[in-house]
Amino acid sequence: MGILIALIWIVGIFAGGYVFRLAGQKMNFGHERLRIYFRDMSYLVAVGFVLGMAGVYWAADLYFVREAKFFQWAAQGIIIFAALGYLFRFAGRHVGTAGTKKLFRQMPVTAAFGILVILFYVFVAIFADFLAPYGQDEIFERINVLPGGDESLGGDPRYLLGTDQLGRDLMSRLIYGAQNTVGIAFVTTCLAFFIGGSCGFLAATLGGWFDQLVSRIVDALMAIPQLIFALLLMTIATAWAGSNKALIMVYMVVIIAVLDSTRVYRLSRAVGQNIVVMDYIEAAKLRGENLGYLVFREILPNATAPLLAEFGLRFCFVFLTIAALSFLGIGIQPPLADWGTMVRDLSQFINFAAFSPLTAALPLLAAGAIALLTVGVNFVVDWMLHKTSGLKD
Amino acid sequence: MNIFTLSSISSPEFFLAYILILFLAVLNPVFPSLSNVFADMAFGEKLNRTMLPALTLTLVVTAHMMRMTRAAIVNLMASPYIEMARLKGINPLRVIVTHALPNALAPIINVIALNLAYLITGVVVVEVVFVYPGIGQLFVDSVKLRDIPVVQACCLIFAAAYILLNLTADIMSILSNPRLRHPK
Repeated sequence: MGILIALIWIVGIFAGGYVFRLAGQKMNFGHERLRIYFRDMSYLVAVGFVLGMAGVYWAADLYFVREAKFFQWAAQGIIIFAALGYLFRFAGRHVGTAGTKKLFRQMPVTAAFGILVILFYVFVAIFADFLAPYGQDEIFERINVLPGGDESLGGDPRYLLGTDQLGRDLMSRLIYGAQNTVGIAFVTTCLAFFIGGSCGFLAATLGGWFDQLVSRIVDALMAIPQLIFALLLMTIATAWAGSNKALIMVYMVVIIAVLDSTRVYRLSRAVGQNIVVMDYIEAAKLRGENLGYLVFREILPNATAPLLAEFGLRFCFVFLTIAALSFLGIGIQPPLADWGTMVRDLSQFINFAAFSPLTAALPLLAAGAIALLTVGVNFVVDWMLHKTSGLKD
Repeated sequence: MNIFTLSSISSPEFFLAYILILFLAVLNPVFPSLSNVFADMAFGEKLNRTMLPALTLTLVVTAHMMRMTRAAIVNLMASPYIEMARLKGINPLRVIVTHALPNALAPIINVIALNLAYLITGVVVVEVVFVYPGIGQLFVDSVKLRDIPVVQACCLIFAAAYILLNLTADIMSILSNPRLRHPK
């Protein structure tokens, strides 16, 4: 039955595209541009228009008639985020130095939104101690308090997002999660860049056997899928670390940094090789400059733009890998609050969506926090790549 | 469209998985949220149970593929012979299928193989979310139990499949490109 209805919808949309185009061609709008637009419209574009209209109808139906809670939240979230991004860009265009004003003028809304998100996360991560109402491992009497703070629905105004099965305040854990997850991901990315970048530039400048050796090692490391390899190494690391949980996390940072530095190595070596053949490097070599001068004063400044974009991308991947590892239960270790672990621990609450949408939103909130940051960073990186490469489409 | 693909690429798999569970299993019970399949289950039942994990992976991979294919095609569509074909007044669909596609085939095959390789790692998380009794679940469980031989074996299987897929991608992209088929 459901399939039949879906089939009717699909056929209707395709037929609607034809009717839409025909109607546009037959009707006289008295507007020359519009007439030409309809005359030259291809069939698929017309179908796209009808599909968009059907989507708008469906969304309006869901929002106003059926009042689906999650859909309303999602729609409000998107509208609020878009407005915030727009406002932030508007503010950036009018406040600040001439340089930043110019930067904001060229910026798409998505990039402005991404910068806003990153700033917000950095703010929360740095001031987590002041923002969080309680400590991240403080255990309270009342367990499984529902979110919302409404006493009659099983909530408690003292714990706005409720407490988990051990009685820890979820709001505080969510805020501290920013500090732990983002902080650890940032440290890991910096380490990966330090290892990969220095090896890559050295390989590009030195060449010869060093280049061959490191490149082959990197090839071997890249032949195994990253998450799988990380899991394998984590097993060995946990066996080594025993019950020392801080040590497990140090191992995790090192393992992910080394695995991710292979990609950084590839990029920095490729970029470095393009720069090394330039005339000014030749001139510097003839002047008798040493290796440190060559790498830091000549190559590095010319390789900043691609490396910066790569830093954003790497940060996303590292962040997702750490979140996935924590989600699987072998990443950031409890007492520390962390979003991946929170998603796993709270995932059972999703079954209550029909009675208590707020409760079911909890695991999505933690997963959404991860998603929001990676999306924001990716928006900024996309814009930066677009700007530096001059790619037009 | 660009915003949509970018967002779905960069959000973690379990976020998408839980959203699908929320909408298709809890709010509108269409598919079961746990895909515990057994060997002696009817095929239709198996299909029904594995629908949600399959859908999750499909959506993630579709976004990846769209983005990569788009990047491959955008450069191609800017080339002069495509413009020529367009100026001749050929139907846009035909320009894409007969003019652009043969040249875009090699990157697209590469994209497909890369995505299959991506699926191998992505499947681990998704199997854990949906409690699907597959090799990913076994892998994660034995990682937690520190059962090193099983972890090694799983890792070997994953790595072998990964390398095999990359090799196939290389061979296919050589086969699909006449310039590479007949080296100088």
